[in-house]
Amino acid sequence: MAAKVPQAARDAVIGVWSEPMTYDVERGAVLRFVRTLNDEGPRWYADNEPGAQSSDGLAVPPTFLVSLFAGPHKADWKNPYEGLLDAGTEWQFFEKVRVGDRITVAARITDMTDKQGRVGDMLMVTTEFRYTNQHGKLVATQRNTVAWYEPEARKA
Amino acid sequence: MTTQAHYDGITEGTDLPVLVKHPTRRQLVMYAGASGDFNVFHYDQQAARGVGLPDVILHGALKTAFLSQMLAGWVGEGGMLRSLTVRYRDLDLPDTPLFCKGRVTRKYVEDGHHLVACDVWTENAQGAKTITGQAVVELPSRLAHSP
Repeated sequence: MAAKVPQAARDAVIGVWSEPMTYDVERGAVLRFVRTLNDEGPRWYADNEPGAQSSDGLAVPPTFLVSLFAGPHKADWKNPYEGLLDAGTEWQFFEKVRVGDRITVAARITDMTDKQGRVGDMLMVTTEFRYTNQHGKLVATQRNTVAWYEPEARKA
Repeated sequence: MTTQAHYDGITEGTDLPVLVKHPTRRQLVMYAGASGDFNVFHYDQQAARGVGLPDVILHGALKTAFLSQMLAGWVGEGGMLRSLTVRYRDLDLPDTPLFCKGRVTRKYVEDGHHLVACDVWTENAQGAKTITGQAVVELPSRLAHSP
């Protein structure tokens, strides 16, 4: 198995943090997310009721944070693969994120490993995401691993 | 209004309430928009088949969101999902039901937090596990607040 991504390219990208990106957690974005899960309840529409409690402060679904993208990576690797499969994810949650919070996210690749699998030669890439709130508190981390592969090998 | 689960009422070996999802192609497009994951394999059948997939496939993160929905619904407003680790074992396709399941494996107190560990998984219509993983949730304890 020949490594398609040279070690020097890996060394240049692994461990390098992206630019941070900051987002206001607003009801519309959260509502679009919960709708995709068919998880919307009356609390998300409370703002529409006269005199009702604001949706500010409502806890968002834990993995809503996937919709908050990190900023551009300062280092790039020329990805020669076309196929992409999710391999796994590890979430840790330290504090609930609520509508009205301001979340900053940054990411870095922590590992790139060649592997032989059902779809042939694969490159397993693990990315760590760190989510921090407006008080500077780390509210969640995510370690996401994807498998890049050659489509021809899967079709064979 | 659902009843709040409490740590004291949890028994190791108990099955969590099953959450049944019926993902559709429309839902995959909605999730792409809501999550920002516009990988074509989730909405373009021709592109999916071009990389050897049988059809468009569910986003892994959507399936994880289903599992976290099951867990968040179970622990209620007074509880909290603390960790969720999943491995994607197989693909899932739209227009077929997906069953989100879990089982309590351990309950313990750590630094004053009342924690419950669970095995979690998704099953397809054939009964095969397409995600396996572990979760830890924190629940309120009635006893902790007793005088």
